[in-house]
Amino acid sequence: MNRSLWFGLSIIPFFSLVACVHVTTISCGSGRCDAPPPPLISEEDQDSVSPEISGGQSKVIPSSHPPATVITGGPDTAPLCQLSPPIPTWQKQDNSAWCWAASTTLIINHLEPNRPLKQCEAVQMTLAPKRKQYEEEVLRTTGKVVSIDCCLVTDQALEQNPGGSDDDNVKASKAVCHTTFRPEWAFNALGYENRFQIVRWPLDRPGPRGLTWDELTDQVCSNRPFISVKAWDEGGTHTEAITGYHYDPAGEMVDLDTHGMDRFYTIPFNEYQGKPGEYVHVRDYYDIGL
Amino acid sequence: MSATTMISASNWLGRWGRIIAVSAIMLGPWLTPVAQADVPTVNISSVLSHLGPPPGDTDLFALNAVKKVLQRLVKKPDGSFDAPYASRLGFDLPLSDPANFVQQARSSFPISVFRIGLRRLQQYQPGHPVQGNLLTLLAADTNWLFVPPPSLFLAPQRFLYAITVLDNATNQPVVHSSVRVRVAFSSVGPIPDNLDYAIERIGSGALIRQVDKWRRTPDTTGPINPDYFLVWIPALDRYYLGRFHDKDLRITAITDDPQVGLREGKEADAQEVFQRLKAEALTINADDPDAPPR
Repeated sequence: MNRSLWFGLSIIPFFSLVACVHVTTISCGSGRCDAPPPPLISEEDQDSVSPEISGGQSKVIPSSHPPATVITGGPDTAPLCQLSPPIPTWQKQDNSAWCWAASTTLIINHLEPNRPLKQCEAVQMTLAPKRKQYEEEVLRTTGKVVSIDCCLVTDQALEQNPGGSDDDNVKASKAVCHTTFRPEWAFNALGYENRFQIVRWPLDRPGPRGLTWDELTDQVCSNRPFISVKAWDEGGTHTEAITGYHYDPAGEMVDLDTHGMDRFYTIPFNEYQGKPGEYVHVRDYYDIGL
Repeated sequence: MSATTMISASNWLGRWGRIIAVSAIMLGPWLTPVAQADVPTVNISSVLSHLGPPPGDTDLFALNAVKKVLQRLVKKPDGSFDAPYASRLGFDLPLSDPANFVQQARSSFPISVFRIGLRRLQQYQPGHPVQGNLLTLLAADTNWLFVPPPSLFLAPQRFLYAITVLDNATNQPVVHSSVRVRVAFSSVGPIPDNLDYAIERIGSGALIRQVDKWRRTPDTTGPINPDYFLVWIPALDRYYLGRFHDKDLRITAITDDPQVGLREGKEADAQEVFQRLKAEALTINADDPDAPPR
């Protein structure tokens, strides 16, 4: 028996064992196998979002929130929900660290069309405690009064004011505002405390991560875009807004607003749930505004 | 294993232990995760120097994606044309008969796409024989269809096709949107003859317009230069055009990029560009899959 064949035969029991474990793990005693587990809230999240409060709130759809547009077809065609009003344009992230701000702003702009919220204003409000702390620290240590304004550090503002980097206010604003952050902290600061759900998808969770197709379409049909977070396989995380879906004989498709150079595109549903070798789906923020 | 740990062990092992430990330290960079599951850069170099058409029936698959899937996407369940959706996908629609306009769309001008992961970029070391080799940045096996010698087969795995509509006035195809296709070896049938194809995404209209604008020579109105490929760094949300010129890798910015000091359309030495991108990459924690997003 040659060595390759011997090696192949010797590892068969190992694969069998793995297969058994896999089957055992994904088998579901009740309900749907692809239903998400209860939201996992990390300790860090608990500071800002109490799962008990979040789950215990009675859900009242604001009367001002219009329903989604539902387009029906023939008897063999599934109706399609579309956001109403449609997302008018794309929400570019205003600097390289602000995908979280772009996603939350896009959604709040949709849920509250009469609230003219800009990304940098969302960041300014979200970082209010950090801003105050920094300003006080600068005053204490240098005697200087600085005023942090997150709207000074958008790519556009910095380009229009190239000499501004010497300005103490710009420097302080950059230090505080040009930061990665979490959408839940933004939602809390922007009046959505306890009015959204977070689900974290553990990396060791077998099978697909992400909302099920029914749950995803329910969000759009209740006229609520939501946020999904992916972790690239070689590091780095990114938020995107899910703003629509399509049925297709070749497979269901999900619409993404990405805030970056790709702007807007549609992907197969299974790739929303993750893509081996490229990214894993790590979080969803949904039921926003309820 | 840290160098300190290895040297402690070498004291215990004596002279041979020291030799082994020093060898391990010297070989360290070759044994890092980056070096695993990589396609040999010598093979990559030959492919990138003479980029050919996508393998197998990729062109046909992309065309079907446009003629079938795209057409279904822009049609509402009631059969009417979804103009706002077509616009979001990138189509610049005419006022008259926009549905017919999109029906004329075709896939055209594919460009290979190579992804660079964050950790790989963080480990880039100019001047280092392995991690300083720019091709190592592109060498991840997730970028390639690769069968090692003797039956050597190497082709890019991912292609971005422009979705174009013929402009009747100029008789030239105009880029509106894109479809990205991924090719894989089929799980059935002989390799590399049997390939599977999948749509990765449809849309990204702004991206493909910028790609199309800057992959032309001698200027943006000239013909497409087939030497270009697309470099994608998802963790930094960056795309660049890349090409080999006199055995050097050159990078072209397709939008203004203040972080690397490049204006849209400007070409630079890849080493300089990646050194700057590495500095940006190092600001991100690559080890925490639940880090705050950017």
